[in-house]
Amino acid sequence: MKPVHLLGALGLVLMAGCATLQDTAPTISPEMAAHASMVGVPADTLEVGRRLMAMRCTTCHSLEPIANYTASKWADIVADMADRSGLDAEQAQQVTAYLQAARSVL
Amino acid sequence: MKKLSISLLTLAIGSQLMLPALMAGDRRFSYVYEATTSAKGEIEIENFVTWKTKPSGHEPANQFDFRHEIEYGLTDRFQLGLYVADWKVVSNKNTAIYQDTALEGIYNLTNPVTDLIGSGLYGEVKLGDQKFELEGKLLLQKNFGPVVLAYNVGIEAEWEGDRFGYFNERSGEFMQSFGASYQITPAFFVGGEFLHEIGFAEWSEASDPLLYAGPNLSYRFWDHYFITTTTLFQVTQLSDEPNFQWRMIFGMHF
Repeated sequence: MKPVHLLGALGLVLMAGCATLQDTAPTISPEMAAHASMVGVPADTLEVGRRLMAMRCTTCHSLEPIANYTASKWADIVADMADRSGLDAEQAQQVTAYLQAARSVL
Repeated sequence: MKKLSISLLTLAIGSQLMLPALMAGDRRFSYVYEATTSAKGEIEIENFVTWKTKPSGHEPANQFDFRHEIEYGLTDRFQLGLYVADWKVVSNKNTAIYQDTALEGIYNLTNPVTDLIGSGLYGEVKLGDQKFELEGKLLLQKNFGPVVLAYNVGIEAEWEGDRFGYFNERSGEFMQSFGASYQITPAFFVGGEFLHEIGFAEWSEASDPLLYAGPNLSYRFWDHYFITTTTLFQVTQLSDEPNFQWRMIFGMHF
Protein backbone atom coordinates (compact mmCIF):
# COMPACT_ATOMS: atom_id res chain seq x y z
CA MET A 1 0.00 0.00 0.00
CA LYS A 2 1.40 3.41 -0.96
CA PRO A 3 1.84 5.93 1.87
CA VAL A 4 -0.72 8.24 0.30
CA HIS A 5 -3.33 5.46 0.36
CA LEU A 6 -2.50 4.72 3.97
CA LEU A 7 -2.96 8.39 4.83
CA GLY A 8 -6.23 8.51 2.95
CA ALA A 9 -7.54 5.60 5.00
CA LEU A 10 -6.31 7.29 8.17
CA GLY A 11 -8.11 10.48 7.15
CA LEU A 12 -11.40 8.61 6.76
CA VAL A 13 -11.00 7.12 10.23
CA LEU A 14 -10.30 10.56 11.67
CA MET A 15 -13.34 12.07 9.97
CA ALA A 16 -15.54 9.24 11.22
CA GLY A 17 -14.57 10.17 14.75
CA CYS A 18 -15.91 13.70 14.34
CA ALA A 19 -19.60 12.92 14.45
CA THR A 20 -20.12 13.26 18.21
CA LEU A 21 -17.64 16.00 18.96
CA GLN A 22 -17.85 19.61 20.13
CA ASP A 23 -16.19 21.89 17.57
CA THR A 24 -16.46 25.41 18.95
CA ALA A 25 -16.81 26.94 22.38
CA PRO A 26 -20.46 27.96 23.00
CA THR A 27 -21.10 31.68 22.56
CA ILE A 28 -22.48 33.64 25.51
CA SER A 29 -26.25 33.22 25.42
CA PRO A 30 -28.78 35.29 27.45
CA GLU A 31 -29.44 32.16 29.52
CA MET A 32 -25.76 31.81 30.33
CA ALA A 33 -25.50 35.50 31.22
CA ALA A 34 -28.59 35.22 33.46
CA HIS A 35 -27.15 32.22 35.26
CA ALA A 36 -23.83 34.02 35.77
CA SER A 37 -25.52 37.17 37.11
CA MET A 38 -27.33 35.05 39.71
CA VAL A 39 -23.96 34.14 41.18
CA GLY A 40 -22.57 37.66 40.79
CA VAL A 41 -20.56 37.17 37.62
CA PRO A 42 -20.93 39.88 34.93
CA ALA A 43 -21.46 38.79 31.34
CA ASP A 44 -18.21 40.33 30.11
CA THR A 45 -16.33 38.01 32.48
CA LEU A 46 -17.83 35.09 30.59
CA GLU A 47 -16.53 36.47 27.29
CA VAL A 48 -13.06 36.88 28.77
CA GLY A 49 -13.23 33.32 30.10
CA ARG A 50 -14.25 31.99 26.72
CA ARG A 51 -11.38 33.77 24.99
CA LEU A 52 -8.89 32.60 27.60
CA MET A 53 -10.05 29.03 27.27
CA ALA A 54 -9.55 29.17 23.50
CA MET A 55 -6.06 30.66 23.80
CA ARG A 56 -4.70 28.83 26.83
CA CYS A 57 -6.45 25.46 26.92
CA THR A 58 -7.33 24.27 23.45
CA THR A 59 -3.97 25.13 21.92
CA CYS A 60 -2.65 22.05 23.78
CA HIS A 61 -5.59 19.67 23.69
CA SER A 62 -8.99 19.39 22.11
CA LEU A 63 -12.12 21.05 23.40
CA GLU A 64 -13.81 18.74 25.88
CA PRO A 65 -17.60 18.53 25.52
CA ILE A 66 -18.81 20.79 28.32
CA ALA A 67 -21.68 18.44 29.17
CA ASN A 68 -19.17 15.74 30.11
CA TYR A 69 -18.56 17.24 33.56
CA THR A 70 -20.59 18.88 36.29
CA ALA A 71 -20.09 22.54 37.21
CA SER A 72 -18.12 21.64 40.34
CA LYS A 73 -15.96 19.18 38.38
CA TRP A 74 -15.11 21.93 35.89
CA ALA A 75 -13.88 24.07 38.79
CA ASP A 76 -11.61 21.20 39.88
CA ILE A 77 -10.33 20.66 36.33
CA VAL A 78 -9.48 24.31 35.78
CA ALA A 79 -7.77 24.53 39.18
CA ASP A 80 -5.72 21.45 38.29
CA MET A 81 -4.74 22.76 34.83
CA ALA A 82 -4.22 26.44 35.66
CA ASP A 83 -0.51 26.23 36.30
CA ARG A 84 0.17 24.18 33.18
CA SER A 85 -1.77 26.60 31.00
CA GLY A 86 -0.32 29.77 32.50
CA LEU A 87 -3.57 31.04 34.03
CA ASP A 88 -3.29 33.23 37.10
CA ALA A 89 -5.95 33.03 39.85
CA GLU A 90 -8.21 35.69 38.31
CA GLN A 91 -7.98 34.15 34.84
CA ALA A 92 -8.71 30.68 36.23
CA GLN A 93 -11.85 32.10 37.87
CA GLN A 94 -12.92 33.67 34.57
CA VAL A 95 -12.48 30.37 32.69
CA THR A 96 -14.33 28.50 35.43
CA ALA A 97 -17.19 31.04 35.36
CA TYR A 98 -17.54 30.61 31.61
CA LEU A 99 -17.52 26.80 31.75
CA GLN A 100 -20.00 26.70 34.63
CA ALA A 101 -22.34 29.13 32.87
CA ALA A 102 -22.12 27.06 29.67
CA ARG A 103 -22.77 23.88 31.65
CA SER A 104 -25.79 25.41 33.36
CA VAL A 105 -27.75 25.69 30.11
CA LEU A 106 -27.06 22.16 28.86
CA MET B 1 31.64 30.86 10.32
CA LYS B 2 32.13 27.41 11.83
CA LYS B 3 33.26 29.05 15.07
CA LEU B 4 30.09 31.17 14.95
CA SER B 5 27.93 28.09 14.50
CA ILE B 6 29.60 26.35 17.43
CA SER B 7 29.07 29.44 19.57
CA LEU B 8 25.42 29.68 18.61
CA LEU B 9 24.91 25.99 19.29
CA THR B 10 26.56 26.32 22.68
CA LEU B 11 24.31 29.30 23.45
CA ALA B 12 21.21 27.40 22.39
CA ILE B 13 21.98 24.31 24.45
CA GLY B 14 23.21 26.32 27.42
CA SER B 15 20.11 28.48 27.52
CA GLN B 16 17.92 25.37 27.66
CA LEU B 17 19.84 23.82 30.51
CA MET B 18 19.57 26.95 32.62
CA LEU B 19 15.86 27.73 32.24
CA PRO B 20 13.28 26.10 34.52
CA ALA B 21 10.15 24.53 33.04
CA LEU B 22 6.92 26.30 34.00
CA MET B 23 4.09 25.70 31.52
CA ALA B 24 2.97 23.96 28.34
CA GLY B 25 1.53 24.54 24.82
CA ASP B 26 2.42 22.22 21.99
CA ARG B 27 2.71 21.40 18.31
CA ARG B 28 0.77 18.57 16.77
CA PHE B 29 2.64 18.72 13.45
CA SER B 30 6.30 18.73 12.42
CA TYR B 31 5.96 20.51 9.08
CA VAL B 32 2.54 22.17 9.16
CA TYR B 33 1.95 25.23 11.32
CA GLU B 34 -1.24 25.65 13.34
CA ALA B 35 -3.02 29.02 13.33
CA THR B 36 -2.82 29.48 17.09
CA THR B 37 0.07 31.25 18.81
CA SER B 38 1.80 31.20 22.17
CA ALA B 39 0.05 33.02 25.00
CA LYS B 40 1.39 36.44 26.04
CA GLY B 41 4.61 36.04 27.98
CA GLU B 42 5.04 32.36 27.14
CA ILE B 43 8.49 31.20 26.08
CA GLU B 44 8.92 28.04 24.09
CA ILE B 45 12.08 26.36 22.92
CA GLU B 46 11.96 23.93 20.04
CA ASN B 47 14.77 21.78 18.72
CA PHE B 48 14.37 20.28 15.27
CA VAL B 49 16.27 17.47 13.62
CA THR B 50 15.46 16.49 10.04
CA TRP B 51 17.01 13.47 8.35
CA LYS B 52 16.81 13.34 4.56
CA THR B 53 17.94 10.54 2.29
CA LYS B 54 18.45 10.52 -1.46
CA PRO B 55 18.52 7.50 -3.77
CA SER B 56 21.89 5.76 -4.17
CA GLY B 57 24.16 7.59 -6.58
CA HIS B 58 23.03 11.03 -5.43
CA GLU B 59 25.25 13.04 -3.11
CA PRO B 60 24.93 13.52 -0.25
CA ALA B 61 23.13 10.25 0.47
CA ASN B 62 22.20 11.39 3.97
CA GLN B 63 21.77 14.85 5.44
CA PHE B 64 20.87 15.88 8.97
CA ASP B 65 19.47 19.39 9.46
CA PHE B 66 19.31 20.90 12.94
CA ARG B 67 17.38 23.94 14.13
CA HIS B 68 17.12 25.60 17.53
CA GLU B 69 14.24 28.01 17.95
CA ILE B 70 13.14 30.29 20.78
CA GLU B 71 9.56 31.55 20.59
CA TYR B 72 8.00 34.28 22.67
CA GLY B 73 4.38 35.39 22.92
CA LEU B 74 4.46 39.17 22.61
CA THR B 75 0.68 39.33 22.87
CA ASP B 76 -2.02 36.67 23.00
CA ARG B 77 -2.18 36.92 19.20
CA PHE B 78 1.40 37.58 18.08
CA GLN B 79 4.47 35.48 18.64
CA LEU B 80 8.05 35.99 17.56
CA GLY B 81 10.47 33.17 16.95
CA LEU B 82 14.24 33.28 16.59
CA TYR B 83 15.96 30.45 14.80
CA VAL B 84 19.20 30.80 16.68
CA ALA B 85 21.04 28.55 14.26
CA ASP B 86 20.20 26.24 11.39
CA TRP B 87 23.07 23.87 10.70
CA LYS B 88 23.59 20.56 8.97
CA VAL B 89 25.76 17.49 8.83
CA VAL B 90 26.05 15.57 5.56
CA SER B 91 27.19 11.99 5.15
CA ASN B 92 30.29 12.68 3.07
CA LYS B 93 31.65 15.44 5.33
CA ASN B 94 32.72 15.10 8.91
CA THR B 95 31.82 18.60 10.02
CA ALA B 96 28.83 20.68 11.08
CA ILE B 97 28.00 23.39 8.56
CA TYR B 98 26.26 26.59 9.70
CA GLN B 99 23.46 27.55 7.32
CA ASP B 100 21.49 30.53 8.58
CA THR B 101 19.70 32.37 11.33
CA ALA B 102 16.10 33.51 11.00
CA LEU B 103 13.35 35.59 12.57
CA GLU B 104 9.77 34.36 12.39
CA GLY B 105 6.52 36.09 13.27
CA ILE B 106 3.04 34.57 13.49
CA TYR B 107 -0.08 36.67 13.91
CA ASN B 108 -3.28 34.88 14.88
CA LEU B 109 -6.33 36.34 13.11
CA THR B 110 -9.11 34.01 14.23
CA ASN B 111 -9.27 31.17 16.72
CA PRO B 112 -10.40 27.69 15.62
CA VAL B 113 -12.36 27.17 18.85
CA THR B 114 -14.23 30.47 19.06
CA ASP B 115 -14.54 31.25 15.33
CA LEU B 116 -15.76 29.28 12.33
CA ILE B 117 -12.19 28.67 11.22
CA GLY B 118 -8.82 29.51 12.71
CA SER B 119 -6.43 31.60 10.65
CA GLY B 120 -3.09 33.30 10.97
CA LEU B 121 -0.30 34.97 9.01
CA TYR B 122 3.27 33.73 9.03
CA GLY B 123 6.34 35.71 8.00
CA GLU B 124 10.00 34.76 8.10
CA VAL B 125 13.27 36.48 7.28
CA LYS B 126 16.32 34.23 7.00
CA LEU B 127 19.94 35.27 6.60
CA GLY B 128 22.95 33.04 6.12
CA ASP B 129 26.49 33.48 4.86
CA GLN B 130 25.39 32.34 1.41
CA LYS B 131 21.73 33.21 1.22
CA PHE B 132 18.90 35.58 2.10
CA GLU B 133 15.34 34.37 2.19
CA LEU B 134 11.83 35.78 2.69
CA GLU B 135 8.81 33.61 3.31
CA GLY B 136 5.12 34.29 3.84
CA LYS B 137 2.27 31.90 4.56
CA LEU B 138 -1.43 31.84 5.29
CA LEU B 139 -2.26 29.42 8.10
CA LEU B 140 -5.72 27.87 8.37
CA GLN B 141 -7.02 25.51 11.00
CA LYS B 142 -10.30 23.80 11.75
CA ASN B 143 -10.98 21.78 14.88
CA PHE B 144 -13.53 18.99 15.01
CA GLY B 145 -13.41 17.89 18.62
CA PRO B 146 -10.26 15.77 18.95
CA VAL B 147 -9.45 16.20 15.24
CA VAL B 148 -7.42 19.17 14.08
CA LEU B 149 -7.04 19.94 10.39
CA ALA B 150 -4.39 22.48 9.40
CA TYR B 151 -3.50 23.90 5.99
CA ASN B 152 -0.68 26.25 5.04
CA VAL B 153 -0.12 27.97 1.71
CA GLY B 154 2.72 30.35 0.95
CA ILE B 155 5.56 31.58 -1.16
CA GLU B 156 9.25 31.95 -0.59
CA ALA B 157 11.86 34.11 -2.31
CA GLU B 158 15.53 33.22 -1.99
CA TRP B 159 18.77 34.88 -3.05
CA GLU B 160 21.98 32.83 -3.00
CA GLY B 161 25.64 33.42 -3.70
CA ASP B 162 29.13 32.10 -3.04
CA ARG B 163 29.77 34.53 -0.22
CA PHE B 164 27.96 36.93 2.08
CA GLY B 165 26.54 39.98 0.35
CA TYR B 166 26.92 38.60 -3.20
CA PHE B 167 23.62 36.85 -3.67
CA ASN B 168 23.40 36.71 -7.46
CA GLU B 169 21.15 33.68 -7.88
CA ARG B 170 17.48 33.99 -7.16
CA SER B 171 14.71 31.45 -6.90
CA GLY B 172 11.21 31.11 -5.54
CA GLU B 173 8.94 28.43 -4.25
CA PHE B 174 5.23 27.91 -3.95
CA MET B 175 4.36 25.60 -1.10
CA GLN B 176 1.31 24.19 0.54
CA SER B 177 0.95 21.67 3.30
CA PHE B 178 -1.87 19.89 5.03
CA GLY B 179 -2.04 18.02 8.30
CA ALA B 180 -4.66 16.03 10.17
CA SER B 181 -4.20 15.05 13.80
CA TYR B 182 -6.40 13.00 16.11
CA GLN B 183 -6.22 13.25 19.89
CA ILE B 184 -6.21 9.73 21.33
CA THR B 185 -5.59 11.03 24.83
CA PRO B 186 -4.82 14.65 25.87
CA ALA B 187 -1.16 13.64 25.73
CA PHE B 188 -0.99 11.48 22.60
CA PHE B 189 -1.88 12.41 19.02
CA VAL B 190 -1.64 10.57 15.70
CA GLY B 191 -2.18 11.84 12.18
CA GLY B 192 -0.59 12.57 8.86
CA GLU B 193 1.01 15.39 6.92
CA PHE B 194 1.33 16.29 3.24
CA LEU B 195 3.79 18.68 1.60
CA HIS B 196 3.52 20.07 -1.91
CA GLU B 197 6.21 22.30 -3.40
CA ILE B 198 6.92 23.86 -6.78
CA GLY B 199 10.22 25.67 -7.29
CA PHE B 200 10.78 28.64 -9.60
CA ALA B 201 14.37 29.10 -10.79
CA GLU B 202 15.01 32.79 -11.47
CA TRP B 203 11.41 33.32 -10.34
CA SER B 204 10.13 32.20 -13.70
CA GLU B 205 10.70 28.58 -14.65
CA ALA B 206 8.49 26.19 -12.69
CA SER B 207 10.01 22.91 -11.61
CA ASP B 208 8.16 19.62 -11.48
CA PRO B 209 5.84 19.43 -8.47
CA LEU B 210 7.22 17.69 -5.43
CA LEU B 211 4.85 15.88 -3.09
CA TYR B 212 5.51 14.18 0.24
CA ALA B 213 3.10 12.34 2.51
CA GLY B 214 3.44 10.40 5.72
CA PRO B 215 2.26 9.74 9.27
CA ASN B 216 2.98 11.73 12.41
CA LEU B 217 2.88 11.28 16.17
CA SER B 218 2.92 13.78 18.99
CA TYR B 219 3.38 13.10 22.68
CA ARG B 220 3.31 15.49 25.68
CA PHE B 221 4.94 14.60 28.97
CA TRP B 222 5.94 16.00 32.37
CA ASP B 223 3.54 18.94 31.85
CA HIS B 224 6.09 21.06 30.01
CA TYR B 225 7.59 18.97 27.22
CA PHE B 226 6.54 17.48 23.92
CA ILE B 227 7.96 15.40 21.10
CA THR B 228 6.42 15.52 17.65
CA THR B 229 7.72 13.39 14.80
CA THR B 230 6.74 12.92 11.17
CA THR B 231 8.05 10.56 8.51
CA LEU B 232 7.47 11.70 4.95
CA PHE B 233 7.86 9.69 1.75
CA GLN B 234 8.17 11.27 -1.66
CA VAL B 235 5.04 10.43 -3.61
CA THR B 236 6.39 11.93 -6.82
CA GLN B 237 9.40 10.41 -8.60
CA LEU B 238 11.95 13.26 -8.60
CA SER B 239 15.31 11.54 -8.24
CA ASP B 240 17.26 14.68 -7.31
CA GLU B 241 15.05 15.32 -4.28
CA PRO B 242 15.15 13.31 -1.04
CA ASN B 243 12.92 10.26 -1.33
CA PHE B 244 12.47 10.13 2.42
CA GLN B 245 12.63 12.63 5.25
CA TRP B 246 12.03 12.29 8.96
CA ARG B 247 11.66 15.18 11.38
CA MET B 248 11.46 15.26 15.14
CA ILE B 249 10.76 18.34 17.28
CA PHE B 250 11.54 18.32 20.96
CA GLY B 251 9.88 21.28 22.66
CA MET B 252 9.68 22.77 26.11
CA HIS B 253 7.66 25.66 27.57
CA PHE B 254 8.19 28.29 30.20
